[in-house]
Amino acid sequence: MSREYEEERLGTLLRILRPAPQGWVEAAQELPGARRALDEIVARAESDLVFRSALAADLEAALAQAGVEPDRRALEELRQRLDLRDGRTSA
Amino acid sequence: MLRSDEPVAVSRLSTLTDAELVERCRGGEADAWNELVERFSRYVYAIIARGFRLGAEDAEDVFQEVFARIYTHLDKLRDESALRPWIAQLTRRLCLDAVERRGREQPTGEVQEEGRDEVEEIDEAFAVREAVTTLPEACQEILDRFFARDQSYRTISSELDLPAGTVASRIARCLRKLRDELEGRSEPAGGSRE
Amino acid sequence: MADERYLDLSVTAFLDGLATRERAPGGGSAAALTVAFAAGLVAMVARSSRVVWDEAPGIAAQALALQDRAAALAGSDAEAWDEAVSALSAAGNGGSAEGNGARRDFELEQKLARAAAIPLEIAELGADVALLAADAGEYGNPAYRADAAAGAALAAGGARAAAHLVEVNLGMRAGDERLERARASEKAAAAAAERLLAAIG
Repeated sequence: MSREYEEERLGTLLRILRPAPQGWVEAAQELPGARRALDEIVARAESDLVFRSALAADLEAALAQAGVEPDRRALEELRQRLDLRDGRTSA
Repeated sequence: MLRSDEPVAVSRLSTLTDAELVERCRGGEADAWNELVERFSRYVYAIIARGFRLGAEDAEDVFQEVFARIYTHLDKLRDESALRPWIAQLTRRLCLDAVERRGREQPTGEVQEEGRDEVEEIDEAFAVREAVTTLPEACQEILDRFFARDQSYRTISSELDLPAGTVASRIARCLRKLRDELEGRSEPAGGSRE
Repeated sequence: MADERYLDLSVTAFLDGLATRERAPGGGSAAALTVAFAAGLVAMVARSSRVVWDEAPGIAAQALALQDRAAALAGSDAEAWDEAVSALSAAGNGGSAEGNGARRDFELEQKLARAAAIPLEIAELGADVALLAADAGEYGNPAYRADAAAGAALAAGGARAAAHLVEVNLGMRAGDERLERARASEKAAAAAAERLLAAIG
């Protein structure tokens, strides 16, 4: 860098790394806990057919009742892992 | 150097090298994972928002997916000190996937070039930010508030309890310290977290 | 013209756009670019003052950051203003349909809030640039003091115009925190400009 512009270049570079939205950061930090909660739900659904039926009937309500925030990503992941697409459940 | 206003454990985490941080995350330490997200959230966000200019919904999805994959595949990272390039590559790949999914008209090759140039500058910005963390906390705070968070002199003066007329001068002096720190690092014996 | 990127236009094209009967670009965009011009002058003075003023490089860096922020608001203001005016017009013409009146009111309020937030930010940027210009005039190269004064005057003008937009066009009432901030910025910018202009005069 030419000597005349060091501070200016630093100012430009400091403006590049802006804080990510706080909610995004917190959600990412909570990922391990959220993963464990989803793993527990999947394990329970695999051994408890009544619970699995409740998930298939209304996934959001069943999640909320299990104390898990039913956000879009969690719902998608669960549908995939439990094969709940099209409202059917696998045996 | 520990900051006196923070719990000892958290302060120590921020001084860990990337390799040390990866080890702690692999050991299941929640605080280490929080530090990893904190350390790289701005970097990932910059690649997404600045490098690829994704829309809000795609941007959030990619952001979360990046950290989900980091969490899942951290065990497979062979060179712990190469954490940042690995994260950059992962983020770029997910951004490109998002762009293709949205069916943009630009040829794929063109988008890749645009992303790569921006990522180089973002890498430079990350190195500068690392240098900022070695400055006195007052400098870290004021530089971040003015340049990265777009706060006005009035807001900075009020929230940091500084005379309004001195804020610009303080920022200028902190920039000088940052320049001196970076010039010191360009010496062969300079240290860094990586 | 609200959808065009103003910063990509030639000065002539932007001036032509300003003079048309279209709502945008309007006062807010003009105020934003005025503050950006002022910041550019401050950067010039600081860059020309390295020998006499230790802080000059850091001041230049700040002036350029403020310029970047102000220039970006020229387009944002036009867009936000257009949306707010359209929403006000729709609310005035169509009334509130049963069942979605509250939602429409909420959306209108959101658009008005955004339309107020941008000129407020322009006013605050104007105040910051004026303060920086005052420092540049006081401590920088004396040969460029008049340019610093011009920068301070322009920044104060931009801040005043933007504060007026916050107050009058968006119906802010006394006691509204945003109005108080806009007025404080106008006052700070005017004081900084006056300080420098008086010293030269």
